[in-house]
This record gives sequence, structure tokens and C-alpha cells, in this order.
Amino acid sequence: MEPSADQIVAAARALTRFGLGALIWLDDQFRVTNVLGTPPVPLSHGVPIGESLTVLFGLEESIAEHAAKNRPFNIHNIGLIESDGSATSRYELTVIADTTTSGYFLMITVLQSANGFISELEHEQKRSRLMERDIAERTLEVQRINAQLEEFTYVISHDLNAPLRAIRLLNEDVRQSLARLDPKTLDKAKLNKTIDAIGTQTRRMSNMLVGLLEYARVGRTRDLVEPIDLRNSVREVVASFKRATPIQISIRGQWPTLETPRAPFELVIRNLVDNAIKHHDRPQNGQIRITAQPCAPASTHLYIDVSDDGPGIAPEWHEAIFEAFRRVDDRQHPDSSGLGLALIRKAARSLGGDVTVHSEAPAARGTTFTVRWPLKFTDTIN
Amino acid sequence: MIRKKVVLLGEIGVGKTSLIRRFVLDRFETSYKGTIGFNIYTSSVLGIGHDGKTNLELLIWDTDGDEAARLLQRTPVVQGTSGVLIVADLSRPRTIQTMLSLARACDMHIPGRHIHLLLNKADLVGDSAPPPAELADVVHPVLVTSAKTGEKVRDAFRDVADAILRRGL
Repeated sequence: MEPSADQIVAAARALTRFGLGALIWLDDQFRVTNVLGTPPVPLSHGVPIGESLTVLFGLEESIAEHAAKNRPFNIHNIGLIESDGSATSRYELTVIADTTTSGYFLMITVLQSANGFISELEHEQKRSRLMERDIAERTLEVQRINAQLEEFTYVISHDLNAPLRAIRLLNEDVRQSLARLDPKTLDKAKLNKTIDAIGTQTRRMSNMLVGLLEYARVGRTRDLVEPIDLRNSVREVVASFKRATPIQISIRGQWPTLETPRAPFELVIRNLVDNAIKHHDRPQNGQIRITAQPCAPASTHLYIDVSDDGPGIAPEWHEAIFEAFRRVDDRQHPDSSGLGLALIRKAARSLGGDVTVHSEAPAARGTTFTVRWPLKFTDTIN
Repeated sequence: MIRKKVVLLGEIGVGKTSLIRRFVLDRFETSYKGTIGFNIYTSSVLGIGHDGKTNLELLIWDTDGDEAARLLQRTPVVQGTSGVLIVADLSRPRTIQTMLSLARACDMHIPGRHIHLLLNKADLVGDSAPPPAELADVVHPVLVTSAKTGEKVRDAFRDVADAILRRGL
């Protein structure tokens, strides 16, 4: 037997009286026509529901669509935040078509605490999984940084010690020479040479320290990303070397204008040109070519070759030259820091690029350093 | 007063609730309490629009960050929305990927809405952090914010409100 209308109303009153929510009748324009129970916000008759119960603001069309398909429109687990930041109870809202009119029923149910507890547990589980994932990623990053720090410590303690040792020995030579000092037999030339060597080692150590600081800084500061005409930028770098060397330096290829950090780009080009000049054994007839390779449409990087016709680099040195303080020939440039190529590789890699070398020495002369430079950057964001 | 609905999307823990509470209540709480379901906040934005004199009431939907991409298929979240703020955590690069995939989903499912991307927790990474390379191609405005310090939070909501008004959304 179907319940009577009175029984249904009595049941509805009982449910809403015990704080389980509210029943609201809406007309076809979503205006409130009747209210049973205690809604979360005061409702006025004749006022569209979305104006008072803001969770339903803008949802009228969707509610009507659901009703037309004979489906309930449901929003689960809603909290309304008061002006002081406190939250009301949590609700579930269900809207269905009123088959006796062309309006709607809105049922608001107060969610019981057990539902809320289960929802919180599920949320915490998901959050824990995300945190575990984040921790794993950060652990890898910390391991990478620790490896860099270990390398740095080794370099400082081992390689910086070399010039200090040399200075100590040279100093001892000078002391002994002065102890045996006899104006008749004093070898002034030898003494001067020793003192010059002390100066060289001191300069070397100073260059190493400056280079180390720059090496540590590369990749850790954020340079401004700006539109740069790369050909002009390379031209300016080359111009700074013109008076220092008779070597002919040419710029070739198609150079784009890129939004890129200027300082690291010019650092890479400058150090490569400097390196090519420094190690060229025939500067009077020497050539250095800086060439931008054409970019394919889907390219993500620009490839730049810095080629010289110098003596070349033997294969066993092709990776070693990029290590900090490694120098192919100590005698040629004794006060060099040995950090130039390590610096440019670090700079390029910190920005998503790289630097590699190709040379067929001793079978053939010449060396080509290839710079792989990202085509896209973004500046910050403000 | 004109009333408009905006929604905040993004992974769990990126700071959606903190951003809203900083904007609405000018408060920041260090203890974490995850959002379950949806919370609805109301706040006024004054003096915006072409004439700089229009006031807008924002209904701000704070979401739970659960399976964020699926939220867009849950009608109540996105229906009637004029603007979306998608939030990522600058100290967790993976959340930026989620932000971008949410932006693409918004463009597909709710085209024409105004979208703002917020890179939150700027206080944790500082000025020396390199900018996220993934944002090079985005067409939506991006702001770096900090709910903790309040940096750019007000600007974010005002910019969204202003854009909604100007575009007539």
C-alpha cells in the first residue's frame, strides 16, 4: 500500500526536524516556493535559490538538463565558509524534477561525521603517496648535489695544493741560494728566474680561485631572459679579441634572434674563442670559424660550431678537458686556471644545453667545439 | 553587485586553500588541513573593470585536488564558472606538469573561460631558482605567488576578476 500524502509529509517533517537537512521546493525559474527543515542559509520565498545558496549559482542550466533526462543533479561534500573563516556543516545537495509541477525539489542532507572521517582518511592516504613521490625525487636531487660537493672538495684540496707546493719549493730554493750568497758567485739570472716562477704560480693560484668562484656560481643564479640578436652578440665577443691575436675569426651561418640569457651565452662563446686562440700553434696564419647550423622546424636547440685549424686534441683528452683544472699542456700556459672548458659545459648544461668536442688529432689538425643551445627559455614570470 | 564564480584547481598540497584564505581572510596557517570535497568562499573585489569603479562579488570554489583532471568532468565544479585559477607548487616541479595538463583540459572542456596560472610557494624557492622551462609556450597569464607572504595573491584574484569583467564572462 502506498503511503498517504499526510504520511509522506509527516515523514519529511520528522527527517528535517532532526537536523538531517532540508527540503526546498523551487519553481521552474528556481525561485523558492516552500521550505521544510533548516537550510544552511536563510532562504526567502520568491528569490532564486542561487542568490541565497551560492553553491547553486550558475548551475541552473545543468540542473534543468539533468531533470530533463530524469536524472538527479548532485553535489557531494560541500562546505560553506563564513566570513570569519569558520566552516558550516558539510552537506550533500540533490536536485530532482518535481513531477507535479514544472519545478524542482532540492534536498539538502547534512553529512554525518563518519562519512567525513572516511573522506579525510582517503585524502590523507593520497597525500601520503604524493609526499613519498616528492621525497624520492628530492632524495635524488640531494644525492646529485652531494656528489658535486664531494667533487668540489676534492678539487680544492688536491688541485689547489699543487701551486702551493710549487711555491714552497721555489721559496726554499731562494732561501738556500741566499744562504750561500757570495757576491762573486751569485747567479742573478737563476735567482730572478726562480722569483719569476714564484710569481707565475701565485698568479695561477689566484686564477684558479677566481675560476672556482665563477664555477660555483654558474647555474645557481637566474639570468634575465631577453631577446638577443645572436650574431651581434657573437660579433661583440669576437671584437674583444681582435687586438690580442693575429688569428682570423669569422662568423658564419644563419643566426636567429632568441629569447635567452645573455651572460651565459657570451661566456660560452668567449671561453671557446679564448681557448682556441690560446692553444693555436700557428697564430700568424690561423683561422677560427664560428658557425650557426640551420635549425630544422621541430628543433629544440641551436647548434653552434667553434672550429679552429690548430694542432687538435687527442681523443684521450676529449672528456678530460671538460674536467675542472685539467690542462692538456701545463707548460704552455702555466698560470691558466684550467677551468675554462669546465665552466662553459656547466653553464650550457645548467640551461638544458651542452658542449662537445670533435678532433682527429694526431691524424689531422683542427678542433671543433659544438655548442647545443636551447631555443626556448622563459623569464620569470612576473 | 555583480556575482561571478571562479574555481581553483591543482594537485593536493599546492596551496589552493592557503591562497584563498590569504585573499579572503588575510590569514595564513602553517598547519596543513586538506580540503575534502568543495568549500565555497565569498569575497568582494572593488574598483575594477574598464572604468575602475565596478565591484564584483567572487564565489570562490576551493577544490580537493583529488584526481584533478577528473574534476572537470564533474559538472558542478565547472558549470557557471567564469574563471579558473590553476595552482602549482614551485618547490615541486611535478605539480607544474599537472597544472599544464589541467590548463589543456580546461581549454578543451570549458573553452572561453579565463584561466590564470599561479606558481605558488615562491617563498620556498627564492629568486635564484631558474624559471620553469615548461611555461615557455603557455598562452595564459602566469603569476608567481606566496600565500605565506601574501606576494601577488591579491593581484592574482583582482586580475582574474578584472579579466572576467572585461571579457564579459
